[in-house]
Amino acid sequence: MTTKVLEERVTQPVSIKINGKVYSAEVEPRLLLVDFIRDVAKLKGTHIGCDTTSCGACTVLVDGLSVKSCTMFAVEADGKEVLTVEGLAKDDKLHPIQEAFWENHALQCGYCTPGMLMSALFLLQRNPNPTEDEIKEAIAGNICRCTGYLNIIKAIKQAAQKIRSGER
Amino acid sequence: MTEQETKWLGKPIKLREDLLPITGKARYIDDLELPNTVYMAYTTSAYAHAKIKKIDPSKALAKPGVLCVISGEELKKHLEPFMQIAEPPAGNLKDYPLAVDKVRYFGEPVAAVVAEDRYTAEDAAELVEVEYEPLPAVVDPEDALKENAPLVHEEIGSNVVWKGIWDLGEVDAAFEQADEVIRERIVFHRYAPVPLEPNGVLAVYDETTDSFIIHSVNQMPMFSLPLICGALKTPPSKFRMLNPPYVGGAFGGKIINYTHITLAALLSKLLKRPVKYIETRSENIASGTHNNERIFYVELAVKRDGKVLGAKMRIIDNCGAYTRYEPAGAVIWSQVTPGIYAVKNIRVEFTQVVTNKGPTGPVRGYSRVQHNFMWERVMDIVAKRLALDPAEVRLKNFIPPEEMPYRGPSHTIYDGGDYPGAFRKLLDALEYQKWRKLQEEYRKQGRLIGIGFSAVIDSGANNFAQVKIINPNFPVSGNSEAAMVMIDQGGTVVAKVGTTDQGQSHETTMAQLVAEVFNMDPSRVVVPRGFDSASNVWAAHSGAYASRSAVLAGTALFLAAQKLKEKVLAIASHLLNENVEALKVENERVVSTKTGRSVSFSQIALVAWSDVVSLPEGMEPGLVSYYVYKPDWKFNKPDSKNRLNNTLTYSYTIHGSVVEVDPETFLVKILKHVVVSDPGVIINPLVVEGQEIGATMHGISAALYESLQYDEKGVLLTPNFWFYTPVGAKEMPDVELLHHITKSTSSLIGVRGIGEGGGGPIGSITNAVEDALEPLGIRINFSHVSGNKLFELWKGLHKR
Amino acid sequence: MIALRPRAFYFYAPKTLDEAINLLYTKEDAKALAGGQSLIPMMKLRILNPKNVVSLSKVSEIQPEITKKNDEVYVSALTTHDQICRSDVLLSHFPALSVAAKEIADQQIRNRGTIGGNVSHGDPSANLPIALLALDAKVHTKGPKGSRMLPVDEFYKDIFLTALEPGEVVTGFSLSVQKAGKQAFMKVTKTATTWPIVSVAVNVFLKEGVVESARIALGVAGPTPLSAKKAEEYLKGKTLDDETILKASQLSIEGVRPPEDVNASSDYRKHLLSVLVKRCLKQVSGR
Repeated sequence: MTTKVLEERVTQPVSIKINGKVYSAEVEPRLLLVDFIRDVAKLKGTHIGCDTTSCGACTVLVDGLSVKSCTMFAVEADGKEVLTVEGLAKDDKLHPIQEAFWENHALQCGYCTPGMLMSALFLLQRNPNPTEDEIKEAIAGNICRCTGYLNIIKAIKQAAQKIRSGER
Repeated sequence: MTEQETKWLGKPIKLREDLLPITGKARYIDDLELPNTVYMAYTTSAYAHAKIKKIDPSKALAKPGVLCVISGEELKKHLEPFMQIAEPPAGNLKDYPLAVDKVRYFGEPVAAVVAEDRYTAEDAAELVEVEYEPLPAVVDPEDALKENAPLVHEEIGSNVVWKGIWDLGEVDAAFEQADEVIRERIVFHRYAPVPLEPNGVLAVYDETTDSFIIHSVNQMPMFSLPLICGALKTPPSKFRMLNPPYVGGAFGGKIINYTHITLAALLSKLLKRPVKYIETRSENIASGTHNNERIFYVELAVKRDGKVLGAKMRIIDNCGAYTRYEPAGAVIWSQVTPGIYAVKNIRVEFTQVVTNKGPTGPVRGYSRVQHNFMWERVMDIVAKRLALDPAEVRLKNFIPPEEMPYRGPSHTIYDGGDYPGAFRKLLDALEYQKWRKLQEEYRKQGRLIGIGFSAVIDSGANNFAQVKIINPNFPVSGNSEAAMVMIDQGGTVVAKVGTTDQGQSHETTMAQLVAEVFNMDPSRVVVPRGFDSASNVWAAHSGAYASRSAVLAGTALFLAAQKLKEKVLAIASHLLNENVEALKVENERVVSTKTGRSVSFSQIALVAWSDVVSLPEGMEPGLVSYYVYKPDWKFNKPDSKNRLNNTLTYSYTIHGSVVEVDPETFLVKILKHVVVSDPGVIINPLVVEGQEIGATMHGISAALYESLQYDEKGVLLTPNFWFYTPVGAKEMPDVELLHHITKSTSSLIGVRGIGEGGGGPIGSITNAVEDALEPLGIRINFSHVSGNKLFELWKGLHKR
Repeated sequence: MIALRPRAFYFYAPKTLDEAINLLYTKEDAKALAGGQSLIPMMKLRILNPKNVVSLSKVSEIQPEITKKNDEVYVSALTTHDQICRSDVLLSHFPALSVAAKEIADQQIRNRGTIGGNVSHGDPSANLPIALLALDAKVHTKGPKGSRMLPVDEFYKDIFLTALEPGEVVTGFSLSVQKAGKQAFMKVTKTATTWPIVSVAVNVFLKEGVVESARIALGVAGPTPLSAKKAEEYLKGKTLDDETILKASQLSIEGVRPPEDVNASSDYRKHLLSVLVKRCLKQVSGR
């Protein structure tokens, strides 16, 4: 096994706007976007739960698209806009999706929750009146080990209704 | 507690602890940041069994930013091997945080590296070069018992960790009276709890006090502490154990992580830097705790009408390569010896062996899901053999409610319950008769649907004395939990228990209990999050595991709150100059029902804390009460026949599944799944139902989606989420959940621990699949069903 | 080695195709990065460790594009799976491709993953190549030696090995409406978002109930996407009924030796492939 490792530490500058604020840093190209969010921008709400792009705990929105931030390099997000769970509430007022998760106890340990919220947000921005199957499809890439998903699906349904009826 | 209407107990109060996770502000172990932290990573073994010939750290050490590389050999200089439960020879097993002399399972950590950042740590771990001499591996537990089996731990002389015999009731007489004897071999598979947050630790060595500050996610930090202390040769007084405010699930997978804690602590002392280790998912799957694989050879003595008279069981349990919580699992099934059935004559010969697979531990339903599954499979087998309805066979054998509380053959005390009632409720909700008719119709169309039941009973609040069956000298028994309720100087009610919430919503639940005692708004009861041995109340058994929190912490808290209430009333009586009998507590005031005069908690607090001369004569200042609760188990310790009451409460769940098996692809679809559960008194229904659905999901996932597979060389073929596939939102069926509540006769408030779940769906789904495949004649005597397995069985039956 | 983060590499983000080709050709151990949903997971596990990563995301010539010109639909390499399954043009003419894209993993992966990246990865268990094969799609590439176009079955050489030469990249795909018959795509997976155990795409031209031509593509059936040529031949001139469909499904797995792994034995895969062929043919026959 030849272990070709770079001898020197190569970095390049990136600027990523997260929740409306620009974060600039010199980073290695291999720095995962999730590590940029957590360790450079210090936003700890986005989580790491696996190593095969399976669990979705790291889901954020990049230029409006839901993305697993563990499978994107920070350098690829240079100049882009990222929305994380910390950006959902506005001035201490919870987003209808957050309200709905709370009202329906759609979480227990809370570790999958930020990723679930972002996947749910992406769905509802695109499809304001999703069927139950469409909701399941939207969170198919988000694993939860506590709730059994049923309350999460209920919460997203309720959030859709709230949003449609003009709560935001 | 009396039967009066409760104000807060049983109410679906919104969970306050849900707010921080939904805003991304919850702090988990990896979110903790300390200056100068360095990162630990492991070099792990790709062999299941091999001698370690040489470890060359030079390339790793040459990398800038790498502080050190440590191997098992070096660890031996610093650490004692971890304390073992079993007596010698099994107790001679040497267990260190890194492999010593040889590697014994795929994924075992062989070396640890520490570097300035995570990326460099991973680079360094990859650069450590290990030379192995592969050895033949033993993976099957029956192979482990054979004459020339490779030995996993030479120092114990064989692969047997422990062997025990239970001879309960009159087994031989029962078999003489039988109309038929049914014999089966049943296999329970291996899976893992895989909480979404893996293990992690941040260990800080404080030079100034020569002591450790350990941030970890261990489910029972004070119970694990002696193990860490023994290894590090450092007394408990030198450790401060903390859990962060939020832990991302555990399900029993965060108990044997004391290996990482010990190593990180040692390294932090050697390097004088805080050391952080965050497990990767692959590490978690390979080495983060598995459930016990188990083989049952069962013989049942039955009457023609389906009544089970007695059972003989020869059980072989595979606990993997290291006995960390084991061999406790070799006895814990005896919390549910007869399952939910009135079978008094049972003989069990239980053997636990080590193999070259990952270490097992107290995964949800520890040692009982296997036992429950065995009972649920054999009940269906009895029904089929005797041409009876499986529902009728169960109803015939349930322990009747009139016999509650029921002393079982191994001296367990089943604390109340109406099993037949719950089962009938299930049959109703499942629309059993309708589906039986449909089954016949569908069979004519070539469609294969099946109906399966599973009636499982699972425990809450274990009695540690059960390990004395294994080792009479092991200094652990009973259980205890500590609670504190305080009204602080500002008049705020503050409550604390020693549990370690991993998503069970203790904050709100405990607040509800205290609010009930004080007749106040639960949202005003402060329940600080996280665990800190320096400032918490705790008992040595403290933690959240074995579904003990509502039962033990709840009781301790209730009693602490009662005690404090008495003091509050005494002070109020003194201040108002009125009899205590005329006073009532409400909304943080004490009010006289006679005169209407009142005094607030704030006022009482001021007197109790500061204005102490105004206290009643002889009364201690302060407004805080502690209670450390220790249950009385009736049969506290094992007798000569290994019998004891080894768990305080039980919850039982009846599962019914209707499945359809595609006759071409052999894929299984769940058409309907109903659960009837008795959680006892419910503190918060949102929490209880959430746990029940979650446990149901784990059971469904274990039955259909999760199976750890190794090849004959012990290589893990399902090392990550591409191959080890937890159930997702698209697979999880709708579940109808009903309650059939009776109060626990063993717990003060009548709650039953409900977190375990019993693995019910594993039985109901496999029973349903076999039922569906009856026209094809396929037998399902194993706990995990896959299309591949069914196809191979079908092919086997159709070989020309 | 159990890794979560990749080894270090040099990163380039060229803006033109020629720049990208030049970098891929001249830099040591270089790999092209599109959406990263195939490459990055391999890099994180340190299974693939390119020293130089050339991102194609900014390359102007291959930006997402689905255009129909007369009877040809062109899909550029950087078109994402999400864009593919939401395209009305593709859904109406090439529903097999649309469905294949819709069933890839999950929404997040579909938002980033591209058809170019997916196909270039050379994984015979990927959905898109199976649909593309059944649709007789053409793969457009450009490299240091210039541009060329290959039929899909010539593009795949072996498992994870494509016809791409050093410095060559996939630039797009063209599909012909004339090659679009009645289509179906089906797969079997363990859980919805994990790798397919098998997949099948069929593309059948029926004239008055008689098969003029049929394409049957098999996924996870061998080291590359496979065409069930015997079955395709057999079906010519036949009507699609229970008997012919059954026979075709049996012929489609003759001589096929699918891989064996923890999810499925080779026999089970073979069996599933024949079942899916049967069901796909049933679906296109309207039965």
